[in-house]
Amino acid sequence: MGTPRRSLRSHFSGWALFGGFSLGLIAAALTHVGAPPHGGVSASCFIRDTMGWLVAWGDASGTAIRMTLLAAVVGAFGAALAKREFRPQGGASPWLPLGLGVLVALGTGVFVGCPTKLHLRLGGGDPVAIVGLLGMVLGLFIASRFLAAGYHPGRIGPRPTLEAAIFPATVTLAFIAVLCDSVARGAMLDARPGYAAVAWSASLGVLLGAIAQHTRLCFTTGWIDVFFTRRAALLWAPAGAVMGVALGTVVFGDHAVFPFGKTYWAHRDFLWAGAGMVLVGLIAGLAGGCPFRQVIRASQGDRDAALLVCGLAAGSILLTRTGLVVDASFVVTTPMKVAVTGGIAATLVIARTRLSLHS
Amino acid sequence: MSVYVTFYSTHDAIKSQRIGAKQGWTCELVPVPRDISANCGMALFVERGSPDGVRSTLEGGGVEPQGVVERDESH
Repeated sequence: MGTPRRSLRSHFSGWALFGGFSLGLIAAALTHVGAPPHGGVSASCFIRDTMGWLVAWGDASGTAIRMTLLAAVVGAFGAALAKREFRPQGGASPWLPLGLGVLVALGTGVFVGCPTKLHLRLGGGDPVAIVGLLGMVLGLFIASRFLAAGYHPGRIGPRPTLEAAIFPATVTLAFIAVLCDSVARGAMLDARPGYAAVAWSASLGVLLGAIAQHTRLCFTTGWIDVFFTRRAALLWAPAGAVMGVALGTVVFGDHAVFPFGKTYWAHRDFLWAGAGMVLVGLIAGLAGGCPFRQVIRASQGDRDAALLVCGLAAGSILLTRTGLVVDASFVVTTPMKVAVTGGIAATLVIARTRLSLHS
Repeated sequence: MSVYVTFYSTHDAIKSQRIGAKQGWTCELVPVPRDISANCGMALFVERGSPDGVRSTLEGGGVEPQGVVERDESH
């Protein structure tokens, strides 16, 4: 009985660094051709914007299909199929990931971004992201305590291929439809404020999805690994993203990274930015990955990840309609603060009710 | 030979580590090696284990492994 010898090699992952660095560079490139500063890639914001187009809520901050996100699903789906890594799986309880998805929309909506965007904001010189990072790590640590105490999402196992393929196949059809529409209108290179042209977002998005699938890019799993295995290898992914976006921003020269201190398209309410990320970290820890990772997992056959993404999409509509996420005025209102506090409490209650003692 | 075991959930990985410790295995939780699975998360590394023995012990403890891979290495 005992613990095997540990090697230094286990604290470094070249693939994780490559994946994170690539995402950072791609995000900076997309910002250069029209995407928002600090927001070249974001799972939660892009899902919200796409939902804004779908239900036409008329908020100028987000009412168009984010082709980058659709393309990332296509890239990850294609890579998983090509490498025979499309593995249909899912759990017995669809309501749990759906509910967690709605709650994560609350946290990302108040922070203004998911962990992916948090690291882009960090690399781009946004001080609010430092507090967001602390909040996210605190949330992940709390989640790790629940996991250690026996948090159980329910029995998970193989699922029918057709069921697992619904999400990536549907998104792929939407991707093809948008691409055909853009080609037909001769609008492949048309950009609008805050949006990169379809040609760029589609091509770089597919590349990003394939890289993310291959490198298992995630902004939260590395912390859970540290808490349980004392190995920091996967933290090279978020570190790489910070380095990549900082380098890309300097190279493309779109805005100054240093001196540290600019916030773009977000608020500067440090406390509630941190609280929003506590909620996101808590859920990411329990669900096994950040929202961007959930999108990629859904693309390689994880039905629960697809349900969480659907919950995030539904939550984006619900919370935007009820004024519980930060809009273009960039003010964290009292109802939002109450909602985030309630969201953290609700997640803790859900986690508590799903504890099963290890035998 | 050593064995890597992958799981469908973090819960199962943690539970398997406790089962292994009770069995007296030289084992620990490690990040899932990329060449074993496209999933992130944790795997159980068992030094000097046999795949069939590890699988049957874990199944007996109520854990369904996603995959059991034998490797000629120490971690």
